[in-house]
Amino acid sequence: MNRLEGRVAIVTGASRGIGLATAKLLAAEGAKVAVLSLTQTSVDQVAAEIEADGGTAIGIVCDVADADQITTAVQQVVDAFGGIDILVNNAFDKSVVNAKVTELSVERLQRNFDTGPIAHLRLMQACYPHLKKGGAGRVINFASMAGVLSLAEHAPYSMAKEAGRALTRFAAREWGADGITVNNVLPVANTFTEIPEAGIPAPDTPMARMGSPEHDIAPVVLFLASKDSQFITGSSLTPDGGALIDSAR
Amino acid sequence: MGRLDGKVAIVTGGGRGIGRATAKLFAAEGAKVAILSLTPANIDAVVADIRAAGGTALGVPCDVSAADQITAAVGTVVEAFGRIDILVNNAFDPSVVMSSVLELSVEKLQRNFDMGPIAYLRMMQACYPYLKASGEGRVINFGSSAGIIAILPYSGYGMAKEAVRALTRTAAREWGPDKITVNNMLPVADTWGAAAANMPPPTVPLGRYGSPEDDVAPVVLFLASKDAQFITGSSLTPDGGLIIDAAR
Repeated sequence: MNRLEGRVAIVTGASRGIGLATAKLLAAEGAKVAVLSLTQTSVDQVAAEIEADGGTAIGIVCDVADADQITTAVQQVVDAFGGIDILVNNAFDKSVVNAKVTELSVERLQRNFDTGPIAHLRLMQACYPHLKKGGAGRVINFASMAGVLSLAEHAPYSMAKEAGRALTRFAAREWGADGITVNNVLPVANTFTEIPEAGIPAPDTPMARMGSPEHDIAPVVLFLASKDSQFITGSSLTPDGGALIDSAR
Repeated sequence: MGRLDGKVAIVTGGGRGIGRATAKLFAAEGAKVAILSLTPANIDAVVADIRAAGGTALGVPCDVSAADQITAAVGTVVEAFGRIDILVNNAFDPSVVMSSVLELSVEKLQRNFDMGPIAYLRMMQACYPYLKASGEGRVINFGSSAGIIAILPYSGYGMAKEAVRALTRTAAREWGPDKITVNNMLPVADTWGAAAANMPPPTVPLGRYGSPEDDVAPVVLFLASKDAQFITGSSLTPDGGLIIDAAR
Protein backbone atom coordinates (compact mmCIF):
# COMPACT_ATOMS: atom_id res chain seq x y z
CA MET A 1 0.00 0.00 0.00
CA ASN A 2 1.19 3.51 -0.64
CA ARG A 3 -0.75 5.80 1.59
CA LEU A 4 2.24 8.14 2.07
CA GLU A 5 3.61 8.09 -1.46
CA GLY A 6 5.85 11.09 -2.11
CA ARG A 7 5.82 12.37 1.49
CA VAL A 8 8.80 13.06 3.73
CA ALA A 9 8.73 12.11 7.41
CA ILE A 10 11.00 12.77 10.36
CA VAL A 11 10.77 10.30 13.25
CA THR A 12 12.71 11.04 16.44
CA GLY A 13 13.66 8.29 18.85
CA ALA A 14 13.49 5.96 15.88
CA SER A 15 16.16 3.46 16.85
CA ARG A 16 13.89 1.29 18.99
CA GLY A 17 10.38 0.62 20.19
CA ILE A 18 7.54 2.73 18.85
CA GLY A 19 9.83 5.08 16.90
CA LEU A 20 11.42 2.18 15.09
CA ALA A 21 8.09 0.57 14.26
CA THR A 22 6.75 3.92 13.08
CA ALA A 23 9.75 4.69 10.87
CA LYS A 24 9.45 1.29 9.22
CA LEU A 25 5.70 1.49 8.66
CA LEU A 26 5.80 5.02 7.22
CA ALA A 27 8.57 3.89 4.87
CA ALA A 28 6.61 0.80 3.88
CA GLU A 29 3.75 3.12 2.94
CA GLY A 30 5.94 5.10 0.59
CA ALA A 31 7.33 7.92 2.72
CA LYS A 32 10.97 8.94 2.65
CA VAL A 33 11.94 8.69 6.30
CA ALA A 34 14.62 10.50 8.30
CA VAL A 35 15.54 8.27 11.24
CA LEU A 36 16.71 10.40 14.17
CA SER A 37 18.27 9.09 17.36
CA LEU A 38 21.30 9.54 19.58
CA THR A 39 23.86 7.17 18.08
CA GLN A 40 25.27 6.84 14.56
CA THR A 41 25.37 3.06 14.53
CA SER A 42 21.73 2.73 15.52
CA VAL A 43 20.36 5.26 13.02
CA ASP A 44 22.49 3.77 10.27
CA GLN A 45 21.22 0.30 11.07
CA VAL A 46 17.58 1.33 10.97
CA ALA A 47 18.03 3.23 7.72
CA ALA A 48 19.79 0.20 6.22
CA GLU A 49 16.97 -2.10 7.28
CA ILE A 50 14.39 0.19 5.70
CA GLU A 51 16.36 0.37 2.47
CA ALA A 52 16.81 -3.40 2.44
CA ASP A 53 13.02 -3.66 2.58
CA GLY A 54 12.73 -1.43 -0.49
CA GLY A 55 12.11 1.87 1.28
CA THR A 56 13.95 5.17 1.36
CA ALA A 57 15.60 6.37 4.55
CA ILE A 58 18.51 8.30 5.98
CA GLY A 59 19.94 8.10 9.47
CA ILE A 60 20.72 11.35 11.26
CA VAL A 61 22.26 11.61 14.69
CA CYS A 62 20.36 14.16 16.74
CA ASP A 63 20.18 14.87 20.43
CA VAL A 64 16.79 16.56 20.62
CA ALA A 65 17.87 18.40 23.78
CA ASP A 66 20.43 20.30 21.68
CA ALA A 67 19.10 23.26 19.71
CA ASP A 68 21.96 23.31 17.21
CA GLN A 69 21.62 19.62 16.45
CA ILE A 70 17.93 20.13 15.71
CA THR A 71 18.64 22.95 13.28
CA THR A 72 21.31 20.91 11.55
CA ALA A 73 19.22 17.75 11.39
CA VAL A 74 16.19 19.48 9.87
CA GLN A 75 18.37 21.12 7.24
CA GLN A 76 19.93 17.75 6.41
CA VAL A 77 16.48 16.27 5.85
CA VAL A 78 15.48 19.10 3.55
CA ASP A 79 18.76 18.82 1.64
CA ALA A 80 18.31 15.08 1.20
CA PHE A 81 14.59 14.84 0.52
CA GLY A 82 13.51 18.33 -0.60
CA GLY A 83 10.93 19.07 2.06
CA ILE A 84 9.18 17.85 5.18
CA ASP A 85 5.55 16.74 5.44
CA ILE A 86 5.35 14.72 8.65
CA LEU A 87 7.07 15.27 12.00
CA VAL A 88 6.79 12.53 14.63
CA ASN A 89 8.07 13.75 18.01
CA ASN A 90 8.58 10.44 19.76
CA ALA A 91 11.98 10.69 21.48
CA PHE A 92 12.26 10.97 25.24
CA ASP A 93 14.71 10.21 28.05
CA LYS A 94 13.37 7.28 30.01
CA SER A 95 16.04 7.54 32.69
CA VAL A 96 14.48 10.61 34.31
CA VAL A 97 10.76 9.86 34.35
CA ASN A 98 10.41 8.93 38.00
CA ALA A 99 10.50 11.10 41.11
CA LYS A 100 8.27 11.73 44.09
CA VAL A 101 7.14 15.33 44.29
CA THR A 102 8.93 15.82 47.64
CA GLU A 103 12.20 14.60 46.12
CA LEU A 104 11.96 16.01 42.63
CA SER A 105 15.03 18.01 41.73
CA VAL A 106 14.72 20.94 39.42
CA GLU A 107 17.50 19.41 37.33
CA ARG A 108 15.45 16.27 36.70
CA LEU A 109 12.35 18.30 35.94
CA GLN A 110 14.30 20.50 33.53
CA ARG A 111 15.70 17.45 31.77
CA ASN A 112 12.14 16.26 31.15
CA PHE A 113 11.23 19.68 29.75
CA ASP A 114 14.39 19.75 27.60
CA THR A 115 13.75 16.37 25.97
CA GLY A 116 9.99 16.85 25.85
CA PRO A 117 8.07 20.03 25.15
CA ILE A 118 11.15 22.17 24.45
CA ALA A 119 12.48 19.62 21.99
CA HIS A 120 9.04 19.28 20.40
CA LEU A 121 8.78 23.06 20.13
CA ARG A 122 12.20 23.44 18.49
CA LEU A 123 11.54 20.68 16.00
CA MET A 124 8.10 22.06 15.20
CA GLN A 125 9.46 25.57 14.67
CA ALA A 126 12.29 24.30 12.48
CA CYS A 127 9.95 22.15 10.39
CA TYR A 128 7.12 24.67 10.18
CA PRO A 129 8.13 26.48 6.97
CA HIS A 130 8.52 23.15 5.22
CA LEU A 131 5.27 21.72 6.61
CA LYS A 132 3.45 24.83 5.45
CA LYS A 133 5.03 24.73 2.01
CA GLY A 134 4.05 21.09 1.56
CA GLY A 135 0.39 22.00 1.94
CA ALA A 136 -0.70 19.02 4.05
CA GLY A 137 1.57 19.06 7.07
CA ARG A 138 1.31 16.63 9.94
CA VAL A 139 2.77 16.96 13.44
CA ILE A 140 2.36 13.96 15.73
CA ASN A 141 3.54 14.45 19.29
CA PHE A 142 3.85 11.63 21.76
CA ALA A 143 2.41 12.09 25.23
CA SER A 144 1.41 9.68 27.96
CA MET A 145 -1.48 8.50 30.06
CA ALA A 146 0.90 9.02 32.96
CA GLY A 147 0.36 12.73 32.44
CA VAL A 148 -3.38 12.54 31.99
CA LEU A 149 -3.86 10.41 35.10
CA SER A 150 -0.98 12.01 36.93
CA LEU A 151 0.44 8.67 37.99
CA ALA A 152 2.21 8.76 41.33
CA GLU A 153 5.98 9.16 41.23
CA HIS A 154 5.91 10.34 37.62
CA ALA A 155 5.60 14.08 38.26
CA PRO A 156 8.46 15.35 36.08
CA TYR A 157 7.46 13.17 33.14
CA SER A 158 3.77 13.99 33.53
CA MET A 159 4.38 17.71 33.76
CA ALA A 160 6.53 17.65 30.66
CA LYS A 161 4.12 15.50 28.67
CA GLU A 162 1.13 17.63 29.61
CA ALA A 163 3.01 20.74 28.55
CA GLY A 164 3.64 18.89 25.29
CA ARG A 165 -0.06 18.18 24.82
CA ALA A 166 -0.81 21.85 25.40
CA LEU A 167 1.75 22.80 22.75
CA THR A 168 -0.06 20.48 20.36
CA ARG A 169 -3.35 22.25 20.97
CA PHE A 170 -1.92 25.74 20.49
CA ALA A 171 -0.16 24.78 17.30
CA ALA A 172 -3.33 23.09 16.07
CA ARG A 173 -5.22 26.36 16.44
CA GLU A 174 -2.46 28.52 14.96
CA TRP A 175 -1.37 26.29 12.09
CA GLY A 176 -4.75 25.06 10.88
CA ALA A 177 -4.85 27.87 8.36
CA ASP A 178 -1.55 26.55 6.96
CA GLY A 179 -3.06 23.14 6.31
CA ILE A 180 -1.09 21.58 9.15
CA THR A 181 -2.78 19.24 11.63
CA VAL A 182 -1.18 18.69 15.04
CA ASN A 183 -2.23 15.79 17.28
CA ASN A 184 -1.05 13.75 20.24
CA VAL A 185 -0.65 9.99 20.56
CA LEU A 186 -0.87 8.43 24.01
CA PRO A 187 0.25 4.83 23.56
CA VAL A 188 0.58 1.92 25.91
CA ALA A 189 3.02 -0.55 24.46
CA ASN A 190 5.59 -3.08 25.46
CA THR A 191 8.83 -1.36 24.64
CA PHE A 192 10.63 -2.79 27.61
CA THR A 193 13.10 -4.88 25.67
CA GLU A 194 14.83 -5.68 28.91
CA ILE A 195 11.79 -7.58 30.22
CA PRO A 196 10.69 -10.66 28.28
CA GLU A 197 7.05 -10.60 27.21
CA ALA A 198 6.24 -13.50 29.49
CA GLY A 199 7.46 -11.56 32.47
CA ILE A 200 4.96 -8.75 32.10
CA PRO A 201 1.63 -9.31 33.85
CA ALA A 202 -1.47 -8.78 31.73
CA PRO A 203 -2.61 -5.24 32.38
CA ASP A 204 -6.01 -4.66 33.95
CA THR A 205 -7.47 -3.09 30.81
CA PRO A 206 -10.37 -4.13 28.58
CA MET A 207 -8.06 -5.67 26.03
CA ALA A 208 -5.88 -7.22 28.73
CA ARG A 209 -2.61 -7.14 26.87
CA MET A 210 0.32 -4.83 26.30
CA GLY A 211 0.39 -3.05 22.98
CA SER A 212 2.69 -4.02 20.16
CA PRO A 213 4.62 -1.12 18.63
CA GLU A 214 4.26 -2.66 15.17
CA HIS A 215 0.63 -3.77 15.21
CA ASP A 216 -1.08 -1.46 17.67
CA ILE A 217 0.76 1.86 17.77
CA ALA A 218 2.48 2.48 14.45
CA PRO A 219 -0.77 2.04 12.45
CA VAL A 220 -2.33 4.83 14.50
CA VAL A 221 0.60 7.13 13.72
CA LEU A 222 0.16 6.16 10.07
CA PHE A 223 -3.49 7.19 10.25
CA LEU A 224 -2.54 10.59 11.68
CA ALA A 225 0.14 11.01 9.03
CA SER A 226 -2.23 10.16 6.19
CA LYS A 227 -4.97 11.94 4.29
CA ASP A 228 -7.61 9.99 6.22
CA SER A 229 -7.09 12.18 9.30
CA GLN A 230 -7.04 15.52 7.52
CA PHE A 231 -9.97 16.90 9.52
CA ILE A 232 -8.68 15.91 12.97
CA THR A 233 -6.50 18.42 14.79
CA GLY A 234 -5.66 19.34 18.35
CA SER A 235 -6.77 15.98 19.67
CA SER A 236 -5.20 12.98 21.40
CA LEU A 237 -5.51 9.42 20.14
CA THR A 238 -5.16 6.63 22.67
CA PRO A 239 -4.00 3.25 21.34
CA ASP A 240 -3.82 1.79 24.82
CA GLY A 241 -6.17 -1.18 24.88
CA GLY A 242 -8.74 0.86 26.76
CA ALA A 243 -6.45 1.96 29.60
CA LEU A 244 -7.94 5.47 29.52
CA ILE A 245 -11.73 5.51 29.29
CA ASP A 246 -13.73 8.38 30.74
CA SER A 247 -16.15 11.10 29.77
CA ALA A 248 -13.40 13.60 29.09
CA ARG A 249 -13.25 11.86 25.74
CA MET B 1 -7.36 -1.02 -1.08
CA GLY B 2 -9.35 -3.78 0.52
CA ARG B 3 -8.84 -2.72 4.11
CA LEU B 4 -12.20 -4.29 4.99
CA ASP B 5 -11.98 -7.36 2.76
CA GLY B 6 -14.19 -10.16 4.02
CA LYS B 7 -16.00 -7.95 6.54
CA VAL B 8 -19.72 -7.35 6.89
CA ALA B 9 -20.84 -3.93 8.07
CA ILE B 10 -24.17 -2.46 9.12
CA VAL B 11 -24.57 1.30 8.70
CA THR B 12 -27.70 2.89 10.16
CA GLY B 13 -28.81 6.20 8.76
CA GLY B 14 -27.00 5.04 5.66
CA GLY B 15 -29.30 6.73 3.19
CA ARG B 16 -27.70 10.16 3.20
CA GLY B 17 -24.90 12.33 4.53
CA ILE B 18 -22.22 10.72 6.65
CA GLY B 19 -23.96 7.32 6.70
CA ARG B 20 -24.07 7.19 2.95
CA ALA B 21 -20.45 8.29 2.59
CA THR B 22 -19.41 5.67 5.14
CA ALA B 23 -21.36 2.88 3.46
CA LYS B 24 -19.84 3.69 0.09
CA LEU B 25 -16.29 3.89 1.43
CA PHE B 26 -16.66 0.63 3.33
CA ALA B 27 -17.92 -1.09 0.19
CA ALA B 28 -15.04 0.35 -1.82
CA GLU B 29 -12.68 -1.17 0.75
CA GLY B 30 -14.15 -4.62 0.31
CA ALA B 31 -16.87 -4.85 2.95
CA LYS B 32 -20.35 -6.16 2.28
CA VAL B 33 -22.56 -3.36 3.56
CA ALA B 34 -26.12 -3.40 4.87
CA ILE B 35 -27.69 0.03 4.65
CA LEU B 36 -30.39 0.65 7.21
CA SER B 37 -32.58 3.72 6.99
CA LEU B 38 -36.16 4.91 7.08
CA THR B 39 -36.49 5.99 3.47
CA PRO B 40 -36.53 3.23 0.84
CA ALA B 41 -35.77 5.66 -1.97
CA ASN B 42 -32.57 6.82 -0.28
CA ILE B 43 -31.56 3.26 0.54
CA ASP B 44 -32.14 2.11 -3.01
CA ALA B 45 -30.02 4.93 -4.40
CA VAL B 46 -27.06 4.13 -2.14
CA VAL B 47 -27.30 0.41 -2.87
CA ALA B 48 -27.42 1.14 -6.59
CA ASP B 49 -24.36 3.40 -6.36
CA ILE B 50 -22.39 0.76 -4.47
CA ARG B 51 -23.32 -1.99 -6.90
CA ALA B 52 -22.52 0.20 -9.89
CA ALA B 53 -19.05 0.68 -8.42
CA GLY B 54 -18.61 -3.09 -8.11
CA GLY B 55 -19.37 -3.41 -4.41
CA THR B 56 -21.78 -5.55 -2.42
CA ALA B 57 -24.69 -3.92 -0.64
CA LEU B 58 -28.06 -4.76 0.84
CA GLY B 59 -30.80 -2.26 1.62
CA VAL B 60 -32.85 -2.88 4.76
CA PRO B 61 -35.57 -0.37 5.59
CA CYS B 62 -35.57 -0.05 9.37
CA ASP B 63 -36.92 2.34 11.96
CA VAL B 64 -34.30 2.07 14.69
CA SER B 65 -36.78 3.32 17.29
CA ALA B 66 -38.79 0.10 16.83
CA ALA B 67 -37.36 -2.87 18.71
CA ASP B 68 -38.88 -5.54 16.50
CA GLN B 69 -37.61 -3.82 13.35
CA ILE B 70 -34.09 -3.93 14.74
CA THR B 71 -34.35 -7.63 15.48
CA ALA B 72 -35.74 -8.28 12.01
CA ALA B 73 -33.11 -6.13 10.29
CA VAL B 74 -30.20 -7.84 12.00
CA GLY B 75 -31.72 -11.20 11.11
CA THR B 76 -31.98 -10.13 7.49
CA VAL B 77 -28.33 -9.09 7.39
CA VAL B 78 -27.14 -12.35 8.91
CA GLU B 79 -29.27 -14.36 6.54
CA ALA B 80 -27.86 -12.51 3.54
CA PHE B 81 -24.22 -12.15 4.57
CA GLY B 82 -23.67 -14.79 7.25
CA ARG B 83 -21.85 -12.59 9.76
CA ILE B 84 -21.51 -9.10 11.23
CA ASP B 85 -18.11 -7.54 11.93
CA ILE B 86 -18.83 -3.82 12.05
CA LEU B 87 -21.79 -1.85 13.41
CA VAL B 88 -22.00 1.86 12.66
CA ASN B 89 -24.74 3.53 14.70
CA ASN B 90 -25.18 6.78 12.81
CA ALA B 91 -28.95 7.28 12.55
CA PHE B 92 -30.76 10.07 14.36
CA ASP B 93 -33.91 12.17 14.01
CA PRO B 94 -32.99 15.72 12.96
CA SER B 95 -36.51 17.01 13.58
CA VAL B 96 -36.22 16.85 17.36
CA VAL B 97 -32.72 18.12 18.04
CA MET B 98 -33.50 21.69 18.97
CA SER B 99 -35.05 22.94 22.18
CA SER B 100 -34.08 25.17 25.05
CA VAL B 101 -34.07 23.56 28.46
CA LEU B 102 -37.12 25.52 29.58
CA GLU B 103 -39.13 24.41 26.56
CA LEU B 104 -37.90 20.83 26.36
CA SER B 105 -40.88 18.50 26.54
CA VAL B 106 -40.38 15.06 27.96
CA GLU B 107 -41.84 13.72 24.71
CA LYS B 108 -39.10 15.40 22.66
CA LEU B 109 -36.41 14.29 25.08
CA GLN B 110 -37.72 10.72 25.01
CA ARG B 111 -37.69 10.74 21.22
CA ASN B 112 -34.01 11.68 21.33
CA PHE B 113 -33.38 8.81 23.75
CA ASP B 114 -35.40 6.41 21.58
CA MET B 115 -33.47 7.27 18.40
CA GLY B 116 -30.12 7.53 20.14
CA PRO B 117 -28.92 5.55 23.13
CA ILE B 118 -31.88 3.14 23.20
CA ALA B 119 -31.66 2.40 19.48
CA TYR B 120 -27.90 2.05 19.63
CA LEU B 121 -28.17 -0.25 22.66
CA ARG B 122 -30.67 -2.49 20.89
CA MET B 123 -28.54 -2.63 17.76
CA MET B 124 -25.45 -3.44 19.83
CA GLN B 125 -27.21 -6.17 21.80
CA ALA B 126 -28.62 -7.74 18.62
CA CYS B 127 -25.24 -7.66 16.87
CA TYR B 128 -23.14 -8.68 19.89
CA PRO B 129 -23.07 -12.47 19.30
CA TYR B 130 -21.90 -11.90 15.73
CA LEU B 131 -19.38 -9.22 16.68
CA LYS B 132 -17.94 -11.60 19.26
CA ALA B 133 -17.81 -14.45 16.74
CA SER B 134 -15.98 -12.14 14.34
CA GLY B 135 -12.94 -11.94 16.57
CA GLU B 136 -12.39 -8.38 15.28
CA GLY B 137 -15.71 -6.77 16.14
CA ARG B 138 -16.13 -3.04 15.75
CA VAL B 139 -18.87 -0.78 17.11
CA ILE B 140 -18.78 2.86 16.04
CA ASN B 141 -21.36 5.11 17.67
CA PHE B 142 -22.00 8.64 16.58
CA GLY B 143 -22.06 11.25 19.31
CA SER B 144 -21.91 14.99 18.97
CA SER B 145 -19.87 17.95 20.11
CA ALA B 146 -23.26 19.45 20.90
CA GLY B 147 -23.36 17.29 23.99
CA ILE B 148 -19.78 17.89 25.04
CA ILE B 149 -19.71 21.67 24.92
CA ALA B 150 -23.45 22.16 25.23
CA ILE B 151 -24.05 23.89 21.92
CA LEU B 152 -27.31 25.80 22.13
CA PRO B 153 -30.15 25.03 21.60
CA TYR B 154 -29.52 21.29 21.36
CA SER B 155 -30.38 20.24 24.91
CA GLY B 156 -32.36 17.03 24.33
CA TYR B 157 -30.04 15.94 21.54
CA GLY B 158 -26.91 16.67 23.55
CA MET B 159 -28.25 14.75 26.53
CA ALA B 160 -29.05 11.74 24.38
CA LYS B 161 -25.66 11.82 22.66
CA GLU B 162 -23.83 11.97 25.98
CA ALA B 163 -25.76 8.89 27.04
CA VAL B 164 -24.53 7.26 23.82
CA ARG B 165 -20.92 8.11 24.68
CA ALA B 166 -21.37 6.55 28.12
CA LEU B 167 -22.82 3.40 26.53
CA THR B 168 -19.78 3.28 24.25
CA ARG B 169 -17.38 3.47 27.17
CA THR B 170 -19.18 0.86 29.23
CA ALA B 171 -19.40 -1.56 26.33
CA ALA B 172 -15.73 -0.94 25.58
CA ARG B 173 -14.86 -2.11 29.07
CA GLU B 174 -17.19 -5.11 29.01
CA TRP B 175 -16.54 -6.30 25.45
CA GLY B 176 -12.77 -5.83 25.38
CA PRO B 177 -12.23 -9.47 26.37
CA ASP B 178 -14.36 -10.39 23.32
CA LYS B 179 -11.94 -8.40 21.15
CA ILE B 180 -14.69 -5.95 20.23
CA THR B 181 -13.66 -2.30 20.17
CA VAL B 182 -16.32 0.35 20.79
CA ASN B 183 -15.66 4.00 19.99
CA ASN B 184 -17.47 7.28 19.38
CA MET B 185 -17.33 9.58 16.38
CA LEU B 186 -17.84 13.29 16.94
CA PRO B 187 -17.94 14.73 13.43
CA VAL B 188 -18.70 18.13 12.11
CA ALA B 189 -19.75 17.87 8.50
CA ASP B 190 -21.73 19.79 5.99
CA THR B 191 -24.74 17.57 5.61
CA TRP B 192 -27.17 20.44 5.29
CA GLY B 193 -25.87 22.26 2.21
CA ALA B 194 -24.01 25.07 3.95
CA ALA B 195 -21.29 25.25 1.34
CA ALA B 196 -23.82 25.21 -1.47
CA ALA B 197 -25.74 27.99 0.24
CA ASN B 198 -22.56 30.09 0.38
CA MET B 199 -22.61 30.33 4.13
CA PRO B 200 -19.47 31.82 5.68
CA PRO B 201 -16.96 29.19 6.76
CA PRO B 202 -16.98 28.25 10.42
CA THR B 203 -14.37 29.73 12.74
CA VAL B 204 -12.51 26.51 13.34
CA PRO B 205 -8.76 26.06 12.85
CA LEU B 206 -9.19 24.22 9.58
CA GLY B 207 -11.55 26.92 8.36
CA ARG B 208 -14.17 24.87 6.54
CA TYR B 209 -17.17 22.64 6.98
CA GLY B 210 -16.31 18.98 6.86
CA SER B 211 -17.07 16.82 3.88
CA PRO B 212 -18.79 13.52 4.71
CA GLU B 213 -16.79 11.78 1.99
CA ASP B 214 -13.33 13.28 2.44
CA ASP B 215 -13.20 14.24 6.11
CA VAL B 216 -15.50 11.97 8.10
CA ALA B 217 -15.93 8.62 6.36
CA PRO B 218 -12.14 7.94 6.29
CA VAL B 219 -12.09 8.26 10.07
CA VAL B 220 -14.92 5.74 10.42
CA LEU B 221 -12.93 3.49 8.08
CA PHE B 222 -9.89 3.81 10.36
CA LEU B 223 -11.93 2.76 13.40
CA ALA B 224 -13.44 -0.15 11.48
CA SER B 225 -10.07 -1.36 10.23
CA LYS B 226 -7.27 -3.37 11.78
CA ASP B 227 -5.24 -0.18 12.25
CA ALA B 228 -7.43 0.87 15.20
CA GLN B 229 -7.49 -2.50 16.93
CA PHE B 230 -5.93 -1.10 20.12
CA ILE B 231 -8.22 1.93 20.48
CA THR B 232 -11.40 1.43 22.49
CA GLY B 233 -13.74 3.51 24.63
CA SER B 234 -12.56 6.75 23.03
CA SER B 235 -14.01 9.50 20.86
CA LEU B 236 -12.48 10.63 17.58
CA THR B 237 -13.15 14.17 16.46
CA PRO B 238 -13.01 14.92 12.73
CA ASP B 239 -14.34 18.41 13.30
CA GLY B 240 -11.71 20.74 11.91
CA GLY B 241 -10.54 21.53 15.42
CA LEU B 242 -13.91 22.61 16.82
CA ILE B 243 -13.18 21.04 20.20
CA ILE B 244 -9.63 21.48 21.43
CA ASP B 245 -9.02 21.34 25.17
CA ALA B 246 -7.07 19.57 27.87
CA ALA B 247 -9.71 16.90 28.36
CA ARG B 248 -8.22 15.24 25.31
